[in-house]
Amino acid sequence: MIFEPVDGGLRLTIDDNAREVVTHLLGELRGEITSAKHAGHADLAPHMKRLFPAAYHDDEKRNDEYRRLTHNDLADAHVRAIDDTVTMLAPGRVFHPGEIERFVRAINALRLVLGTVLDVSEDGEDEAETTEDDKGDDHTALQRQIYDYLGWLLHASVEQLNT
Amino acid sequence: MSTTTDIERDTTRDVDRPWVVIVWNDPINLMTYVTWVFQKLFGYSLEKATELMLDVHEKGRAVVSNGTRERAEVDVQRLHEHGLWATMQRDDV
Repeated sequence: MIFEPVDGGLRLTIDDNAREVVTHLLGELRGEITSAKHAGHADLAPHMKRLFPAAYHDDEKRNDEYRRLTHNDLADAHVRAIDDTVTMLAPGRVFHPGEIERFVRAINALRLVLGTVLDVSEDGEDEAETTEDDKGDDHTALQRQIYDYLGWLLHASVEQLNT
Repeated sequence: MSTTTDIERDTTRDVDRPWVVIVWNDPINLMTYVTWVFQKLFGYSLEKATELMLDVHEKGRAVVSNGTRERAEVDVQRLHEHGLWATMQRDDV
C-alpha cells in the first residue's frame, strides 16, 4: 500500500525523488492546460486533444457547440485536480481519503498525455516492447519509465479507493 | 406525399429515441481505473462496472448510460473530466 494510515487521515509513502518528478510534470501539464483553455480545439497539440475529446462521434457542428459550452469548465476541472494533487504530494502531507479521487484524476490525466506522446497502442502490452531505437533514445526511455511508474501509482491509488 | 409521411415518421422516431453515452476503448486508461470511474459516476456495483469495462476493452465500446440529451451531455462531460473517451448519440446501438 502506498498510503499509510496516520492520525487524521492517510499519508503518501512514495520517495522524495518520485514526488519531485511527478510534481514537476504536473506543473508542466498545468501550463499546457492553461494555454489550451484559451486556444481553439484545432490548434491543440494531439496529446492535449486527448484531454478535450469530442462528445459526438461524427457531428462536428454539435461538437463545436459542446466545446463552446464545456471547454473552459473542463480545463478548470483538470487544473483544480492538478493543484490539489501538487498540494497532496508535499512530503508529510496528511490528507482525507476523499481527496484521493482528485489525486487519481490528475495522475490519470498526466498518464494519458504521456501515453499519447509515447503513442502507446495497447495497455499493458506496449510498455514491454522496447525497441532498439528506444534503447538509443534516453529521453524516450525515461518517458517510458515515468509512464510505467504513473501506471503503478494510479493502480495503487485506485486500490486504496476501493478499500 | 409519401416522402412527407416518411419524414414525419422519422421525426417522431427521433424524438422517442433516448440518447446513449458510449465509452470507447482506450489503449492507455487502466482497467482498474475505468471500473472505478463507472462505479463512482453511475453508482454501478463492482460486478456491473467490471462487465461494462470488459465490454469496452474487448468489444471496443460500451453503453454506460442513457436518457435525455441534456442528461447525456452531463454524463459525457463528467467522463471527460475523468479522462475517459466518451461520446453520445441517439439510441441506435
